Amino acid sequence: MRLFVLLSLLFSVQALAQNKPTLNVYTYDSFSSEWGPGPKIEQAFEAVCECDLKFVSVDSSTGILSRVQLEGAGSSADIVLGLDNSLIVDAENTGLIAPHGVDMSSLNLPISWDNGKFLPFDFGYFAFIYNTETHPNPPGSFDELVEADNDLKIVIQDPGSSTPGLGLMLWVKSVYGDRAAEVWQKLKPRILTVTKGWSEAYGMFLEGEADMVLSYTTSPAYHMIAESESRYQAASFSDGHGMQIEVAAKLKNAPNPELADRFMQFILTQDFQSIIPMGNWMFPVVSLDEGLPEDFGKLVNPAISLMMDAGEISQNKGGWIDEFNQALSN
Amino acid sequence: MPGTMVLLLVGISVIGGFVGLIFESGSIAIIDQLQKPYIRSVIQFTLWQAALSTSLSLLFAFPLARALHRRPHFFGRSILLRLTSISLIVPTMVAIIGIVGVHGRSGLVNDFLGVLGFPRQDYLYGLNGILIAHLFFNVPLVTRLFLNGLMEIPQHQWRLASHLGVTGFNLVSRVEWPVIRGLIPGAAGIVFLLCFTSFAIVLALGGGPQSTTLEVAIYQALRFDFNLSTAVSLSLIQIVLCVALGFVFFSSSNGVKLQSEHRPGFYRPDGDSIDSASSVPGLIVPRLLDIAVILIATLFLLSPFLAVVLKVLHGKGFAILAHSGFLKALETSVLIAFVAGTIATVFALVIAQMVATLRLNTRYQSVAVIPELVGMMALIMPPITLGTGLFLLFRSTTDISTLGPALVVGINVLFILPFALRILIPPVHQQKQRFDRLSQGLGMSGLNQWRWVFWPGLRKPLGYALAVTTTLSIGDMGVIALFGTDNLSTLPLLIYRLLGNYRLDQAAVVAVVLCLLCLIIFVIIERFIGGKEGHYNAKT
Repeated sequence: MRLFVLLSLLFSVQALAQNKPTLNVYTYDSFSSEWGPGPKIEQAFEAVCECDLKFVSVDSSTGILSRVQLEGAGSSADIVLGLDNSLIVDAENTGLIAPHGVDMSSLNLPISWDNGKFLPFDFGYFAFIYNTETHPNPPGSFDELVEADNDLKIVIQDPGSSTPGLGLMLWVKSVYGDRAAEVWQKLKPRILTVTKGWSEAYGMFLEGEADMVLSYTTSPAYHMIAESESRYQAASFSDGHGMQIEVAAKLKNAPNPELADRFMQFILTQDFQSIIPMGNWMFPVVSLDEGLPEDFGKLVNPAISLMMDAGEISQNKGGWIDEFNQALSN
Repeated sequence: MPGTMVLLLVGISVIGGFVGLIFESGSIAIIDQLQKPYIRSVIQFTLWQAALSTSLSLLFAFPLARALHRRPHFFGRSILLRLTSISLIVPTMVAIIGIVGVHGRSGLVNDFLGVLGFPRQDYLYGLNGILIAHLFFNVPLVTRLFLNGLMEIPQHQWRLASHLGVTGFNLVSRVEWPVIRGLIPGAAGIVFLLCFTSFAIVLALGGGPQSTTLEVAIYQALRFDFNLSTAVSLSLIQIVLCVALGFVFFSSSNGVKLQSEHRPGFYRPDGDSIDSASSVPGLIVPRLLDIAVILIATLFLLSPFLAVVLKVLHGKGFAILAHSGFLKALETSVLIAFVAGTIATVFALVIAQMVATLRLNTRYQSVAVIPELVGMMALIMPPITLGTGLFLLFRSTTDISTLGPALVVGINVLFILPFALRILIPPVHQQKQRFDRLSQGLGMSGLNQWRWVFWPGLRKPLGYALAVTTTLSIGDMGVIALFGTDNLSTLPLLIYRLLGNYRLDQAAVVAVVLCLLCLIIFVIIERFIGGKEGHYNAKT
């Protein structure tokens, strides 16, 4: 009898689980990891959606889309989350993306955004993070970084595999234009390694393997708030800072299109956005009712924010990445 | 004919996977790729690091093999030898964790330098790291080959040399060098090709565009750009180079023997005698040199394991054991490895029987090599290219969530099959030669023949083959890097990801689990199938 009860309980639990549709969101690993915003967002959305939200993570941001391309029409992905402004034309050219249909009037970005397929979910500014205790005088511009001591080791990300890496390459391109290759060659002795993704690079920096790491102006907020630690700070560059807008998109072949629509709507709500500052450690794309955490006020505020036109990036990206690779491999 | 069917399946998978990818990519642009300066420097680097790794492996292995040969007695010699024979099945990711723990900026070497008051050195990432890891895997392998060679020098040659008073350098050039020289093309060929196609090591320790190999460039083209045309073109370049270079090495080689029978008594005039540990008087300097060589080698080969253990003892990494991702990866790893190992061993047995039948039939002797070649065909293919090709071929007709794991198993089978063939072909041939007539005379056939004639003689090599293939497969970090998500993960991939997030303590704990798992599985399979009498031929 007891066995019967147990069995029927088991089946009913399974049935319950099967009744709920699953929404698959493909994203990068640091977003979905238990230290990232993923679990909290999952909880918040599942509280309202009667569904099972599943993050499927790949190890870098540019890998998200190629994963969907590899899987083709049979892919179980409903949503891709974690591409950025520099990849949207390439992403659109795959023909896999559907319009999101979200009212974007609540968006509060430093620039205007009217893209009907890619919906911003957070934004930030690239910056080099350094340890104030070991390096009290960080470089204040790219020129100073290029001329710095060869002992100053930096870790950056690969522009082919990671959006911060791509962002840095574009940042250098916007500052130096045709001289970019020359600048990379000069920087080369100071580049300890080029990692595939952000988390790898940041981890190396925290372990003391490098003196500076490419990350965001918001990264120090993490250390100040979560660790009460203020020795890690962003170096303010007088050239300005590259800006990144991270986006989500719904897929044309989404197995659960209605659920996907609901999630896209959910992205701009306070429930989602309020998790961003202290979850993904980026800026929310709408004004928060409760405002930003206090320590965000202490962050570097870029005088100039640099962002290239997405079409121009798409046209030149391949050649620029070749140029970057070539400059670093000689 | 089960043999023909297995061969067809293997052949069609390999060719089909590749053709499938060419078909999907729509174009091959080898010339375009070769015109890119970056691709040219990738090819150059791939060749350069492989050449350096090979030369250094041979260079370091020779004195080590000599020292081991001259000193048949010292504490830990048998453990060191055992280590040289298992180096190839140490999971790559475990070694990488260990190497980062020893040579990284916060590794043991730098800790030691720090104590002595030196500044920290960054030497791990890029070419250095790749070389260190390649030496870690290949010096033991080559040492093994050289030592086996030295042990096959007939006793009378040593005695003759001793009578003639040949010593020192002359002993090397007259007695040892002729043997070693014969082994070099084969040994260099194996090491060169292993390093040429090196993937996980370059991925983890490469450090950017200046140290990217073709295999990694192919992975990047598939994983990040989804540029099939680039991937196909680069794969073709790699295959052509592989085949051409393999041909150069192996056409001048007279076969490579990984295992050698144990020779009980041996003697060399400049070594310790076999009966006692007493040294020959007057040879203090060479003795000290040998001790130094052995100590340095031991330190180099064991320190990564030590670093892993130290990280584990830190105690901060144990949390991972309770993590659901860990348990899932453990389960997936074991499942994939057992299925792949079993299939590969059965396939190898079937192919080996076919080879033996052909060899024993005078009419077909000349084609007996074909089945073995088909079985080894996959070796020249980049596994990720093959995996992607097969994935694209099947994705519209199969459920994608089962296709990933199925392909990981399938690709694993293709790449461990050559090892199983190497192990099984000689004993199967021997058994057939010995007992085929006899059992036919006794009117035995089918299962009975198997049960009573072949099984007793083959269970040991079969157990060994299954143990080797399963262990290799459990430590594999190839195609899983492409298909892996957090829903499909194995222990090596988990280590790679933890390393990526710089959770070295946790990675070390998983590495130890992976090592123990390999060890346990190896011993259990070998005992269970091979019988009680211990391991097959794997001891010197």
